[in-house]
Amino acid sequence: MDLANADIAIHLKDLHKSFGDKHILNGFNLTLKRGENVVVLGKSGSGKSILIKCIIGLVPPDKGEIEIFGQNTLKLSPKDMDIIRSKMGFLFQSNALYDSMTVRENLEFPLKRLRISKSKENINSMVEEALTNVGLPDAVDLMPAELSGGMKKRVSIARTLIMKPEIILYDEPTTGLDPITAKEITNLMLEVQKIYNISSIVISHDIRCIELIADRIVILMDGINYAQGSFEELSHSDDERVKSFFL
Amino acid sequence: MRFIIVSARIYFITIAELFHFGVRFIKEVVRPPFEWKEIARQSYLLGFLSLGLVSITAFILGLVLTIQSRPTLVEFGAESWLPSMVSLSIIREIGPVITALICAGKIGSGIGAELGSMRVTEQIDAMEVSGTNPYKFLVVSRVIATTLMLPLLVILADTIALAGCFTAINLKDSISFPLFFRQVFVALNYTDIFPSVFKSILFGFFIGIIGCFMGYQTKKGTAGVGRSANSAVVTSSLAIFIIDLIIAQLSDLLFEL
Repeated sequence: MDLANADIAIHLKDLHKSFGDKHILNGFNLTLKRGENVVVLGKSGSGKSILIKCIIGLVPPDKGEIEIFGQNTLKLSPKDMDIIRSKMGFLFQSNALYDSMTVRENLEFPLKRLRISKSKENINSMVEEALTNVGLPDAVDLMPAELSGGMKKRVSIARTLIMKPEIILYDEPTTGLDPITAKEITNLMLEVQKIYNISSIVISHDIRCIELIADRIVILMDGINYAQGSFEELSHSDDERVKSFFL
Repeated sequence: MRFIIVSARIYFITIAELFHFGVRFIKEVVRPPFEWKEIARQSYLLGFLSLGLVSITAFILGLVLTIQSRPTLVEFGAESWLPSMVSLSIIREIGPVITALICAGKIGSGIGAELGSMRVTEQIDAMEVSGTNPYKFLVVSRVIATTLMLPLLVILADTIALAGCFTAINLKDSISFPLFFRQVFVALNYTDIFPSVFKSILFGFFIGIIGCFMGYQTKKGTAGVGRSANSAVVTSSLAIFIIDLIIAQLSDLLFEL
């Protein structure tokens, strides 16, 4: 990787994705710098979730390039892709906690499978640290069904953080939460970003969350990067289509 | 006509996908790391927790088969052949097939519904994005568990069905256990037992792989979970009869039964 690209965590070039006749992504471009928080804003069904699923490799794009840490992930073997994924976190809108496992087992799952640590004590301390950082040190032996919506979101963040990712992709992290919990989750996202110096792409409709978290906002419309800028710039844009997101 | 062509196309695509899914199992099963703990857990859940249902069904089956066969044998004066005839029926055919059908209903639908629900709630995606291999953890462990557990369940079911047979004979007649035991084993041969165990292994493998395939491919929310559980039972039941037919033909060719 040359020095000019050393600061770039993710680079998307001319990304296309269609489902049948429906074109979701139509040549989308985006660059995420290390330590930067980019929020992707767009209407429901505009392809925001598909975009981050393409980045993490859950959905293959039809055309285009996805570079993560300078590596074109579309050309990587599944094993090399797993190495890239182990440096990334993905927060699902539905939390996707493993419901047959306790909170501890949910957090231990990637650590044990990827042989991050062999010592039981070390794994325990990593689990405790991750849960303490999200404010849930006592939830370790609970089952996901026993947790509230906000607690599930926190555990989900803890499961993402335990791998010490360099990038986190958040899929609507505050959707379905009450305003107080949503604000707590937003603050938590800011806090963990500071602690771990994480770059992130956040998909959100929550204007209060976006205002707090976004270094840069990208508007995904008609499958392309329609507009980008800071919250201040876009909320005062002359373009009615852009402005409508901030009303 | 168009409906038939579309249905046939979907059918053949599903068969091809199932084949690829099975080939992937063969590749993954020999590749470390091995999920020993999960295999043991699944063996307990799929095997040990089916003991009650399999045992009760097998006992009733042995009992009913004996009660219903007796009048015909009495008519021909061949009542003493009852233990031999019932044991051959149970060991060769009824024990493995009925146990496999029960397991297709209980285990196959359970696997299809569990993996299907994990798929629609994005739990399988979550495993994948964490850099781990969900196929290895979820599919390989379950298929190994069903392949190992089914022959054991069949052996147990055969034994309990014979106990049912012994009980049924003693309801109307009197036969000592040593005599019953001798009559059963005089009639049985290795060529009866080997194909029975072999087809039980195949039944277990197919119940596991079909259940996992249906669950893993689930789409369209909770309705899809129901469809997966249903397809897992229907497809594995059909597979059991097809395997049974093939093994019966092969046994006939090889051992001249």
